[in-house]
Amino acid sequence: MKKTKKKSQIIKWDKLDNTANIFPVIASESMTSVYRISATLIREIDPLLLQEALDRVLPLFDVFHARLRRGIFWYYFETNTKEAPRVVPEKTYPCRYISPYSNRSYLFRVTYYKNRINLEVFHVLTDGLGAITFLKELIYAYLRLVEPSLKNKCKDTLSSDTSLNKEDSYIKNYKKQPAKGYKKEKAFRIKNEVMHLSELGVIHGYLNIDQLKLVSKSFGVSINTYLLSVYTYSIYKEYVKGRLTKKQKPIAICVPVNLRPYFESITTKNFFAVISSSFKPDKEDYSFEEVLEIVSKCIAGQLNKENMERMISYGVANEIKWYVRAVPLVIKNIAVKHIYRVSAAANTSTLTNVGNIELLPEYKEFVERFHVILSMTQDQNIKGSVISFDNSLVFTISSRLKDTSIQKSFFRKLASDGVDVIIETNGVYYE
Amino acid sequence: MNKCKKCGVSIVNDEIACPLCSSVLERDEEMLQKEAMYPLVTLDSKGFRMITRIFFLSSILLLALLFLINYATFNGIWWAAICAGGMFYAFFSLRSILTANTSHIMKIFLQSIGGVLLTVLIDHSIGYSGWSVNYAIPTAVIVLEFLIVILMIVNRDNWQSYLLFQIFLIIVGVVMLILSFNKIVQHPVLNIISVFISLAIFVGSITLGDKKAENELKRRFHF
Repeated sequence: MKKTKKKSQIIKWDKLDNTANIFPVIASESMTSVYRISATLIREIDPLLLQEALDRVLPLFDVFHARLRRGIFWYYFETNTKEAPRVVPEKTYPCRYISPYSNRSYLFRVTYYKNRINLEVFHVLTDGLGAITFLKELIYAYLRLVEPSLKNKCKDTLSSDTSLNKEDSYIKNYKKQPAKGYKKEKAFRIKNEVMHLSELGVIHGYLNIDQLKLVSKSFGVSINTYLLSVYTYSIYKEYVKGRLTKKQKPIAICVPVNLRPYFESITTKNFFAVISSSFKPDKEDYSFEEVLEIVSKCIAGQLNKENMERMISYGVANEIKWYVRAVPLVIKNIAVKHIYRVSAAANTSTLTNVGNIELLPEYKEFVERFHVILSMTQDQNIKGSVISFDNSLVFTISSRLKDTSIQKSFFRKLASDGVDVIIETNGVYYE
Repeated sequence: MNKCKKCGVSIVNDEIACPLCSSVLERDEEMLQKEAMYPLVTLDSKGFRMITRIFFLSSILLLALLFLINYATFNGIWWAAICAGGMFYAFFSLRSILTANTSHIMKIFLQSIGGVLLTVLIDHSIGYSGWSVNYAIPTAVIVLEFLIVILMIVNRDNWQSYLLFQIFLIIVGVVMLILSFNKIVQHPVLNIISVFISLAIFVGSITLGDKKAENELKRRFHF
């Protein structure tokens, strides 16, 4: 894989996908819209070789090899002609803000700490699936440089499983039909003492997938629904139970759904929609089984292609109206901020599952595990994320709350249901 | 690995208490992860924020004092308003320069707007003779045009980025000419020169830039 310097100098431009339009407007130091996907390898990271791997891989991924620019009517991407961002040691809390004007104007950063490679991505570029595609190729390229056994065994090219497609799948799959707007009912908000703006508390829970399968099967639901129910129940138990008000707001968990399987898309840009699991307590005491039943019914009704099409329709229909397009960006931004504020207030927290990571067999033995960490957003002080690799599932709860009672309830419930739980934190709760 | 009896979970961090419930852990030295897998982070922004707050507070106190002196010794000129404008401009400039959240073009743009407003404020505070709109603003436009040319040469790989700023300066010049018809601008000579220079640089950029300039304008104006 040679550096393609000439190719990288050709300045291409591209529109932001339908979802991406929101992120440059809302992102700031306090709400970064940055997520982290990291891979822990079996050996300590060599920063020089990681930099070389990044230099080689980056020019091949147009989606990442870009900078964000401001037009009169829309933001847009343009090929970034600068060198790849510098690989630096991890020195800050995860998911810090990525300014479009720092970091050599790249909208992602690569850091390392001991055995771990962190890829932090500004959501304007892509969603978790797109980031995983890039991270996998970065890991492959790095391993080919550091592992002598791979040098002869593997070709120095991208894997044939990797997609470089960068279509806007929202536009591609848009159908004119009655659209489904964003949820407007305000959700219960978790309020408590928060950490410093730059801090982020992270607790990883390492879980065995076979055990999780058994437990969720015993409740008659999927692993995802089981985890979502435990998460909802933990919030209810720690912040609502015994404090029910007359106008009790629902505990609404926003669940991002990967739309690629529904529409046979292989895009590396954003292509997700969000469904919401809503649990509105109207009596004092709910058992876990009752919460699970409410959550699973709520989710089941939304996970179908027709619903996803309606959600796509709403976003795209607004984007393609001529009078919306003709509005200058400055004014559009005000409207986008307002819409975001309303829709953000409709969720208590977010729980995302980026799925199971599959690596090529030659590389698998060199990778121990993956983690995913989400940054905080307006009105959401705690979020959950899931990633699986090699029969191990990592459930990460990131939070800016000093209180860890939700995390405690969550992992205690899993342990009491018979799942072995191993906890690792980023040390914030010990400071 | 450490174990928390209350939570029923194992903990890999080498700590005394459970991060979930703060109960003391049962230690198992064999499986314990001695090295933390996250770095120890020190927050260094607190000092900077404190300096900013001290600067902000002392500015307000100083301004209050200046307005008081100005009021007590008033001789027809609100010189304290000029001090307030200057301080606000200094604060705004520092903030704009130090923050990484805007491009250098946007920083120049904001500085220019701030500078223009400050000159108009000074002109008004000392009895308005129109020098701000007659001379200061067109001079600022001309200086900015030459600054843009220098930046385009320095940043020649990306010279087309400055086209939008050039258009903005043309618009400023044209607005100033319109104001001269309303007699708000009484001596338009410098304004006419500034519009001429702006147009010449823009047309030159478009002509010499050819496809690159055309693509830049397409991108910037796509809707």
